Amino acid sequence: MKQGPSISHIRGEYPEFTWVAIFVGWAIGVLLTISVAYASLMLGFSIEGSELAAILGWGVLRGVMRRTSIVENNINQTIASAVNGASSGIMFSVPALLILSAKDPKFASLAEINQPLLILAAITGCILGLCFVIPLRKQMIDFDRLAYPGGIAVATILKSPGAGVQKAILLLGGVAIAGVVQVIVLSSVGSDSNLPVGDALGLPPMLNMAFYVSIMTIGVGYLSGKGGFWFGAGGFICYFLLSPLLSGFAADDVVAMTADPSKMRVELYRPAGIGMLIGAAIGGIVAALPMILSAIGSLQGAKDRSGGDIAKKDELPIWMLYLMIAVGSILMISIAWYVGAGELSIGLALLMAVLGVAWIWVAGVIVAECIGRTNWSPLSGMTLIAVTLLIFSIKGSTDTLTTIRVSMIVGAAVCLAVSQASDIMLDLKSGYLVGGVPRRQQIAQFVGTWLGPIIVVWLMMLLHEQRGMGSESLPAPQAEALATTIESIVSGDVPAYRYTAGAGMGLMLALSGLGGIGVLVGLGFYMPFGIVLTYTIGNILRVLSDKFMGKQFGYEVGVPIAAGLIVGEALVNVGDAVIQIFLN
Amino acid sequence: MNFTPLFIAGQVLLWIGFLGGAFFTVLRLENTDAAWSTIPWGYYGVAALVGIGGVVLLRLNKAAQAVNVESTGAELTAVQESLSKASERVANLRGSLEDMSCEDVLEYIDEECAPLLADFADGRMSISNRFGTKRYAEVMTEFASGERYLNRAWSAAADGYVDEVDASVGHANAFLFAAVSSLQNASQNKENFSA
Repeated sequence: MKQGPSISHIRGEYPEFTWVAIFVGWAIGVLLTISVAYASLMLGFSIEGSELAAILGWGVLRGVMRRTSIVENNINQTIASAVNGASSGIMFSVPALLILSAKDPKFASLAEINQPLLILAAITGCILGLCFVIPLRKQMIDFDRLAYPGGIAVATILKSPGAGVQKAILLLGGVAIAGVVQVIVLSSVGSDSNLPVGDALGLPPMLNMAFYVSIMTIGVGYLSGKGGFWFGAGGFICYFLLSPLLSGFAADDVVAMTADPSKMRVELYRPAGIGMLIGAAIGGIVAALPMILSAIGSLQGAKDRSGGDIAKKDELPIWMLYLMIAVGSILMISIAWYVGAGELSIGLALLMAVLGVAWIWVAGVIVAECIGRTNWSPLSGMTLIAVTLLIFSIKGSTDTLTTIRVSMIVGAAVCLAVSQASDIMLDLKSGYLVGGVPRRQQIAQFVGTWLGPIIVVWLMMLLHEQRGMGSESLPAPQAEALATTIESIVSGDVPAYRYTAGAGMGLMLALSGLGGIGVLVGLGFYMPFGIVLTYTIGNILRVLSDKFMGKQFGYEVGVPIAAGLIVGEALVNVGDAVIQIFLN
Repeated sequence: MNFTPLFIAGQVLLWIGFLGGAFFTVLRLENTDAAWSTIPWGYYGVAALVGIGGVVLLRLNKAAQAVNVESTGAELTAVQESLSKASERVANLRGSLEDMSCEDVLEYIDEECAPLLADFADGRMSISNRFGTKRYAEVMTEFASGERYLNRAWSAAADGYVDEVDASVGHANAFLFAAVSSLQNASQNKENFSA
């Protein structure tokens, strides 16, 4: 090749899976995990680590270490975000045990957590989640070509050194716009604010016309494009169709409730949405079974393909995944039985483990598809279902304390599994866009995934001893909500009938052959309508830009700006979280 | 998408069924004495049956479309052309690498190859509609590997790793050629079968 004006030639192997990438990934991952896990406990929200890891990796690998490999930075961000995957997975679930123990003396012994066993359960969950979802890479990324807006944003960052000055300016422009807007938003109306357009227009409250104030959400909608419209449709069906109908035809208590959209969501639409997500996922698996089998078949027969050895080396061998699933399942049975401490029979431990592992697969598919189509993950809903299923599977067969303890340990493993499943799919999409080798990224995810649980469990116990979980100085809002829910589940208060009815509708949409529609509509029922509205603005902008400016404009101009919007808002939110924690 | 009477009827029934089912799902607050009776299952069942009727019609329509050569022919031809052209251009890139700089490679992939790959990806469902999911999976497996290696060639060119550019363009060429062959085989088999 000829030497060009600006890019110097380098001979030899292209650095990708290197020791430098591993150590920098671990270092950035630990830093991110401590920050994000702490923020999760203090503020109740989590931050996706991939974009931040890519930016930090960009600075460390390129800026400080003078290394020049896009795919090496991709491995770095894969490892770092794998470590960080444990932050929300553990901090949203396990502290519920500590909170329950402080709330009620009869639950006091729940605070006696076997830490090594919890870490082992968490790592087992992570590995199971990865093993179940890795074979779906082909179906979701290669065949269905799901958008994964977060993955596009990461790839845009990774590629920015070679994408030319114009795209770098667009990306940074997006970052700057989102950063400035978010600073204004945080200092004026605060995070999680809605713009009550409906009130200004004099619309009835039941229509819930209040836009979520987040420019990042517009960016996510833009990257999802017209494929995300059904997500919006789910929300509009709730508040523009069902609420007005209910206000006319339902009983008085429901008619009164329609004026309070938040309550409508919590009591009616969210449970129906969870059911739809489950039904749609099961229907989606059935409808896509020939494709899934083809994907697994092509993994098994990779060596016979056109690329021969290259195709074979691109993927982890399927037998290895099967083996890890088998070992992980046996470990899960052993953990459940051990935590049961003689109160739980081996048969019940087996039942719990089978339920947990089966749910990891179903929930992994749901979350990977949701994040692929919209960038939102119903992680808390999936954890709630996991804990509910697990509690119901042994309730009555053993005492309440054992029921809660075992369900929460297995439930935390499921939560981590689902978190890892969505993270790796997002990373694999980035990898696809920068030309990373999937096998190397999959190994990188395993290299990072074990470290997170160790750090987060240590941090959680340290903070609990110092401040007390659930106290004013350590509120843990998500775990507090889960603790309240567990109390309800133990007393039998679960809207299983509404989940079932929702599941039927989700199943019907999934079997219609209109790809992904069930999951999207279900997610529209599940999510707050403000987010849906703002997201739809992004969808509309993409459709308009494709129609009037051409698709090339979208790829060349729109995508870098939208990616910048995601990164800018995320950076300001992290800064804000650090400031809040520091001030507290 | 062809708006046949079967398709329209299927859509109408599906959405009447879905909206009816959703309405009955959220019609009442929990009946604390008998929680499962909160949902009026009789009405819900009727709505579900209507929706299932829609699903059946949509499935029948899809099957009818798959065997209708005229309706999928034009879209399929466009998809085949995009893929063939993309494959040719990657082959040209491979042949011209000696005389190109890394900057040239970046520009060539962005300007000459990426739009064709995007066109193919946009119309790819016509392959599934015409030849079924198994053949679709075969074509997309090769195509995706080819596109990913072209992306890798882009990254390597941006970083200046010329040996990797050479190797990745070679792999992309092989995979895209295999995708073209797989699609051609599918067309020929279908024609032979029809004849």
